Amino acid sequence: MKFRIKASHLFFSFNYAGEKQLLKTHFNLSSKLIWFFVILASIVSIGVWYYYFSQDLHLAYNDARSHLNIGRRVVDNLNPGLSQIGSVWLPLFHLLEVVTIWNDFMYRTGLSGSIISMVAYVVGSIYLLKLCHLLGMRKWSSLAAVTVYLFNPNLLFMQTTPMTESLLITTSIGATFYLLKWQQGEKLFDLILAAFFVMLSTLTRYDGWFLLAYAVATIFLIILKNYGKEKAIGLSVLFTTLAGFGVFLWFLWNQAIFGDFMYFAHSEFSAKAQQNVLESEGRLLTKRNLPYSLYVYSLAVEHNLGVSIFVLSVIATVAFLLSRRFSLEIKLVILTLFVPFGFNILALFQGHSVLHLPELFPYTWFNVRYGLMLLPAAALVLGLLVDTRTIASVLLICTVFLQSGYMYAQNDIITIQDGVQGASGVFLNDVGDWLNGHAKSGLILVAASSHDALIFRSGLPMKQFIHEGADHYWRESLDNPTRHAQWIIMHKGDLVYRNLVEEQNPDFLNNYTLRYKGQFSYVYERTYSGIPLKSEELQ
Amino acid sequence: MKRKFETIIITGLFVVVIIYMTYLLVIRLNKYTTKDLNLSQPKIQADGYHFRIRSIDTQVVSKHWAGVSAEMIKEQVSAIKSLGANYVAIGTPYDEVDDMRMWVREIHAQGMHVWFRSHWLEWEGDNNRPAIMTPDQYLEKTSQFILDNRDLFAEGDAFTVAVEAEQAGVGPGKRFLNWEEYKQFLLLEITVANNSFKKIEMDRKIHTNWLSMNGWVAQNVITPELAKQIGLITVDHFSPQSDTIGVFDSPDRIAKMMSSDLDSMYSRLNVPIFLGEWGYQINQESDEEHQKAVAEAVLSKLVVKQFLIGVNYWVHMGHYSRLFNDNGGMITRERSVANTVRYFYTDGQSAITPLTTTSPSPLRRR
Repeated sequence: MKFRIKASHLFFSFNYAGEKQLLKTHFNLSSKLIWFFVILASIVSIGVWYYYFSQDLHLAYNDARSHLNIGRRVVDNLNPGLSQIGSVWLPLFHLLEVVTIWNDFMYRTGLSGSIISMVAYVVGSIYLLKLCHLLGMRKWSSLAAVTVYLFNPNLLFMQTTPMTESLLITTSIGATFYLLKWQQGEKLFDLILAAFFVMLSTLTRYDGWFLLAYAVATIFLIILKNYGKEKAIGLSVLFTTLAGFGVFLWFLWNQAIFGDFMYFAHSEFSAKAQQNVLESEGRLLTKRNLPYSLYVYSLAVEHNLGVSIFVLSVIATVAFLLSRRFSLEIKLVILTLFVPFGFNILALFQGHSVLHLPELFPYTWFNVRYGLMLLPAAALVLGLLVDTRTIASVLLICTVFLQSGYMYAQNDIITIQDGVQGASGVFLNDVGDWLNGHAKSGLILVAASSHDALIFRSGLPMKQFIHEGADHYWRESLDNPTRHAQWIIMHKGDLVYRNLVEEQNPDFLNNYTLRYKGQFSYVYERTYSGIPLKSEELQ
Repeated sequence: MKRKFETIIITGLFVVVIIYMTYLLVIRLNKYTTKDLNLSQPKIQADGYHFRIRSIDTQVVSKHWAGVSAEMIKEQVSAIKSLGANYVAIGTPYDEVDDMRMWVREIHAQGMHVWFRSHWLEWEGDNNRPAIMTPDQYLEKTSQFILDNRDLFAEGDAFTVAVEAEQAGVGPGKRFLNWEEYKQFLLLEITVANNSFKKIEMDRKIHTNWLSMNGWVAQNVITPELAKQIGLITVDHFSPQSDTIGVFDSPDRIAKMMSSDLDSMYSRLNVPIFLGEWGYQINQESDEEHQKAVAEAVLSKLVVKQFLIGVNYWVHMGHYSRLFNDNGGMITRERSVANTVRYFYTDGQSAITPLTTTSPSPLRRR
């Protein structure tokens, strides 16, 4: 059968045959109440940011500093421009940073990136409140659900850092809210807004691509059930066109800048390349092991939520799934918040992702923050569990504060541990500090893919660094380092090392002198000594 | 009826969780109560030398080298004894008790004391082990270690429960939430060790208050009250030594800074100071004469300080600051700096190179 999309498939009004469940709201979500939460969340956000800023923890993650550098390189670089946005990490966060990152204060303090996470945190709380309201939850249970979200110690930390988690969480909540609003009111504008939020997700983290697939499938099934295949396809195509536009642009960007639509997926800087190294070291234990993937991710969620909130969330999820309160369609929409569960387990199982926890081999921390993605889902189902029982809502709020208090007292905030003790915060400060004191002039050749945190730490202008994005400076320096580079920083196995040491580059070996041995990297200075570097002077 | 039942179940569930969390929180907040401190110490006997503790550290070899034979240990301990040391500091992790026993037996056999100066592998994550041991677990395990290994200890030895405990991390996400917890831990280190030694009938026979800490901690964290409780401050302090390869500081500059730093610590804390780690050069290879010149300049400044009760030279072998050159663990020769250390650890009579100090020999106060 030939299928054609007609305008009527796209712009129609539902005409349910009396089966559709329409939710009733139970309290007035006044602008006063919303402003109250905006102010409350903002105060909490700024207060916590200031605390972690004063502890020098808000940039503990190497990736946090890399996110800042990527934005900064657009405006401050040997070769500035939008192409510095790169190919591996999705661009939304960095594009938002560009608005303020030209300012030295905003860049050096990390505020350029932190503000994005902080605003996302506040906005996320409002959308969660609106979602609770739309679902017909009572005031106290809605308040309790937002409390679960607002006072989670791991989210509170992550919203202070220039990392993408807070933004993704918010775009997911926004997408879920507008999907539910569309499901209820059948207004095309709501579907467009849902598509917009999904698109933002797809441009924030690759988790968003899974969200896109789930949202399309959900919309298709909902329409299919009520209006048949043609309308289901029509509306799904419309939604996909809008929501998937970011993905399309990303493919196009990779082709235009790097000459390969899939450059982000299989370049030497990709997550896949990183995972290949881990697999060769026997550290990718979740690959092809579904029960273990499930176990590892669940444990990560437990660490992020705290044990009591986690256990209660599991009970609340089961209660939600078994409950007859909501129709299947509504449940399908709410399950959008659970997409990270499927995505992360699949990614771990496929070996596309890695997550290390201190109690499991290799007994360290890495990417533990992925478990935080289920926080909005946990908050919502817990709110639903206590809905209609004010006393239970109050007890849930007490539980949240007790759990958070315990996590702070126990110093058991795993996203911080990852940054200060785990692999997410490999120590590059020593070389950065040394450079600051000794390399005030002259260009510095360094692989930013391995040393972005060091570049940030050095406090030197980005223009002083010859890195992968420095175009001809980079290419020429890998052949003839003396042409541009006064200093060279390298770590065994990085791009500079491979070109200069493994290739036995004579221009490097005869003209540079080892000046500093850091924990992770060595620093060489151009001296034209003519004395070849000895093997012990190379890592 | 059904709704009532559900309400009771859900409310009951939350009540149970709240009681459980409250219990955990109360336990946690009372974790570091230090009501029953036992901080008593044996006296550090005056033996006629200015430095009562004349120690040489073997950390690089005793902690990091694998397969060190009894023969090598005997030779190295003999070489250390020849410098006039009365203590040998060993860094063998408490997990590796068999290796530790080899060092201990030899040191005791040669008439010196042992300074147990290490920690458990899972404290800082040594040897690729996970750094996941909590302070509670640490203290409990160390207490058991003492009880299980009575044969390791002899009167006059020193046992540091956790060397430079601050290295495990202080602050959010780290081992100690804040400096207050760290300070309580210091007192508990002494208490736990003392209580354990008491149980093996070595009460007040082992020094347990040589709590190595870095200079920053001594200057910025330790209060005079805490210092008084501990009894002395053991500071592992190296005034800045050039880390730019090929660039060296002048001996006088380093000596002045070391002297001034220690004076400043003493004036603030007002308890005896023990220099728990010092050596030259720690960042890069320096030539022997420069190394010796720095050691002379520094030790000359230190030896006249009445408040400084001892020095632990870091390290004997296997590092830029070494006293002995070696070939696969067997000593090939003494470096010039060894003679300088010998001079300051004995009375100067056996020193080959006379020092240029103008003051009458401050080295011996018999």
